[in-house]
Amino acid sequence: MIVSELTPYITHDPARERCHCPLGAVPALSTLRLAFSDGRAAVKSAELIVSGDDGLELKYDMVPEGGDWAATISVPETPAALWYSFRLTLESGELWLCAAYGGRFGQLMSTRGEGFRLTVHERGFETPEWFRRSVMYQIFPDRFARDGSGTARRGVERHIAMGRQVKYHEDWDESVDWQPNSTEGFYFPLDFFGGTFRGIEEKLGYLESLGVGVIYLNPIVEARSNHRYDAGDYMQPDPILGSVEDFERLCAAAGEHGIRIMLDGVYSHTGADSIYFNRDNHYRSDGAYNAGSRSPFYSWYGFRKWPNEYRCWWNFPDLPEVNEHDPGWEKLVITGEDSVVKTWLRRGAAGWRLDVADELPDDSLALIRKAVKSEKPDAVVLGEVWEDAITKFSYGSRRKYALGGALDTVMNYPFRSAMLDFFCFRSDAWALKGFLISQRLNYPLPMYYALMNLLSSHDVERARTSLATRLDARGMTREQQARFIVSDSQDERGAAMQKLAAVLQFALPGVPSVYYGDETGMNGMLDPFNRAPFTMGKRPLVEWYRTLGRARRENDALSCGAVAIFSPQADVLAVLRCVSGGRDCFGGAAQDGAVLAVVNRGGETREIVIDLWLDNTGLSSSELDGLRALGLTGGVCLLTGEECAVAEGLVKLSVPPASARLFKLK
Amino acid sequence: MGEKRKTIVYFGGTAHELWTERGLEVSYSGRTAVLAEGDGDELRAEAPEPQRAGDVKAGYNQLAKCLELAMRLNSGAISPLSGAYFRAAALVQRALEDNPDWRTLPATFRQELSGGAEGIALIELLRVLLDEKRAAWEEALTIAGDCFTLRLPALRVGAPVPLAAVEALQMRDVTLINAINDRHCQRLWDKWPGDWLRIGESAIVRDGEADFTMLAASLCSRVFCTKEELAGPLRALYTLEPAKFAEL
Repeated sequence: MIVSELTPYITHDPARERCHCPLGAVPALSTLRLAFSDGRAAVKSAELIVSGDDGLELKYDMVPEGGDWAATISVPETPAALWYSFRLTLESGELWLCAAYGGRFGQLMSTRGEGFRLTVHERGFETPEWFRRSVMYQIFPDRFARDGSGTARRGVERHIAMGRQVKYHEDWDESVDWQPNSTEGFYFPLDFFGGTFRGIEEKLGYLESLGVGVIYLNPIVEARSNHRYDAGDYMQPDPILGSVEDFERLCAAAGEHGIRIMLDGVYSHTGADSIYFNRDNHYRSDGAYNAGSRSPFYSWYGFRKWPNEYRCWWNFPDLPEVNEHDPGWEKLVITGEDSVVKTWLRRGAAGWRLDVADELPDDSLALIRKAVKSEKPDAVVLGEVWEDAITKFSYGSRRKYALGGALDTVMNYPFRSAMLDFFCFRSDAWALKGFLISQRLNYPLPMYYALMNLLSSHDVERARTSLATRLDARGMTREQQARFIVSDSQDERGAAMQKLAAVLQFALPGVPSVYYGDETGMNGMLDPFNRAPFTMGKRPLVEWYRTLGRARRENDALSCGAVAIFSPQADVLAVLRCVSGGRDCFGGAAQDGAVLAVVNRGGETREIVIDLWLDNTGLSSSELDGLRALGLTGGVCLLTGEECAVAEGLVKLSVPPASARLFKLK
Repeated sequence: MGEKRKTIVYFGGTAHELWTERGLEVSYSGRTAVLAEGDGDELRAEAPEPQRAGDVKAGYNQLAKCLELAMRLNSGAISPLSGAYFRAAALVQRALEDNPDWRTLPATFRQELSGGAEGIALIELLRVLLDEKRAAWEEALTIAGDCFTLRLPALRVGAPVPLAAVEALQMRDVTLINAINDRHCQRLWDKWPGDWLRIGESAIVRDGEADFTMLAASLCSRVFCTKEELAGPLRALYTLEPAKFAEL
């Protein structure tokens, strides 16, 4: 790499329409103009190089256009994650303009370096509008709410009658089990607290008050463990939770509160203790394990040597992996008229979260999408993906599930990491802004607005604990986690930062996801401590979340408006959402308006000016024009009632330490 | 009626920069000197007393150059930048003569700039503090910034000035302008890392010209301007340091 004296003059910024028009990911076969500036007129000729996997390399001659060099191209017809860079010929020789600063800006180099990202997605890729506008609430079903019907106790007795060693916690306030409970010295999650469908139903009013539009339930199908990721029978709900009728009633009742129910589909593996595998003979079925090749399910599994040597998920013998290309499996789970996927939608579910989606083949994901959309066109398909969903590489190939043919959206764990890094002071506002803008630019817009923006989940520490302790629980043993006590001062700090994180979570495009109990201030390290029964923590933030939920519900700008992201200072991040011309980013009807969220994580009051009219913060030029046309002159904070003035797109604010503002601008 | 105050102002020549154990030593050759006499609007230029020692002919020629420059300064047959430099250099020297403790200069010496060529006074003060008073860089910047206030009129005065024109007056000033521009761009970079387009739009030096308004806005501790200026050319700087800006 070289640092050329021309570096300041030969630049490319993918967040500026001058350089990248239209902004962000583009549909296949659409027209795209890519350009770089040449402020010293030093470039003699230039070539745009677009590259991708499998040796794909496309070259386009560039032409000078008013101080810039540009190429207008028709992007490839196949959806793909691509990269581009510019090869320049100067008097002094050849230089490359490649991506630097996290891909945000260009850097002149003597050799070809990292390219700028270009996401090409399917034409006509759409995601459900209701989902994009929703607030999500994730429930670990066993731990949210009991009911007084005795359902759970009867369900536990049924499990015991099947021969399972399950435990029922009589007291809701007991600690979760975590100690080894098997002869091999392992911990198995076999303790139940007895949360039920009816219990959830009784709390629908509470959830509605939080502004929740969709409940994501961790697995509900009959299974041995309390997390139910080891499905025993895909078609039946776990009797501890209730019956099919209870589920259907829950969905119907939720609908009356404006809430939909999304389920967790675990299709890369089943439980060993299942109707399909039946290792423990707890079912009357001919399972692959107990009946061998006689079993209709035998071909689902990959036996190296029947019965004890078989492929299993991450080598857990309790979770035998399935062959997703097996016709029998495919029919029962996906394609059959009464498949698992379709049946639960018929019972009232509004979509699926697909467990370990990146471990399911792309064609299986596409089949699931087809089945889901055929059964319920506005149902949502959400995948569990921990990394950048566009560039994810697994099992020897680049995954395409985020490009329109499979998943509507994904769990946005990178968002969680970036947010926690910022609020734990491991990064600054510039880094967070860079990350947030890169997501805006690299995800297909329909997916970007549907991203499940989470701060906690059943698989990670609760946000309160992360923010309070700033520890990485992955470095701690279960015993250490069990004995760890979040001090009062830590919790106070965690609560303060959680409030700010929640403001950004609700202000950014995507679906803010609240893990049950986050709003009540629950703490919890990793599994199983993050799955404790729902309770009130020391510093609940229920009213805070209600206010944010209300703000999102009452302001189209927050739920579907265009986004701009600002980092006026290292400790301060701001997010603007706006709708103009009566249309959202997808052309849907929406109320004009603008909302500005500002958070200051630091310990001092910050005097800042936010320039709403900056041209490379996420808004397209037409969105910027629309913003200007709103004629904003001031605003009122929906959290504090404080007022602010806006003049010529400039907002001058004094933001107290560790505080947030959510201005409705007018 | 007292005697009019006289101050020597040097024009042009070559600055020789030499790093020594004491720091940077600057010496000059080939400069043209004029005497600034009087105050304020009454300031006039005179040729200094001729140096009789040495080469008489060379001395005579030097005197002729000084006389010619003084005449042009007095008749106004010079560029606005040259006139501004003459006044600024005299002003700064006198301020420092009147305040032997230069560290307390901002307490007694306060000047307003309007964004035009007179802003060269800022650079002159900085130069004298650095080269003659041997102030540290950040300390000199702070003192210079505190001594001057930028009050931009509704209608802008002064266009960007070619650096070559500044160099013809005082070579060191160009070095300092470039150093200030580097510092200014660094602050812009800190806020918008990698965003050269934005940094370029708000730089002090662009295409071989210095924007004295941007320079003064960057250095002065107080800036008064219209909201149009805030929303326009000074927008980026305003978002960088809002506290020092006040709306007219």
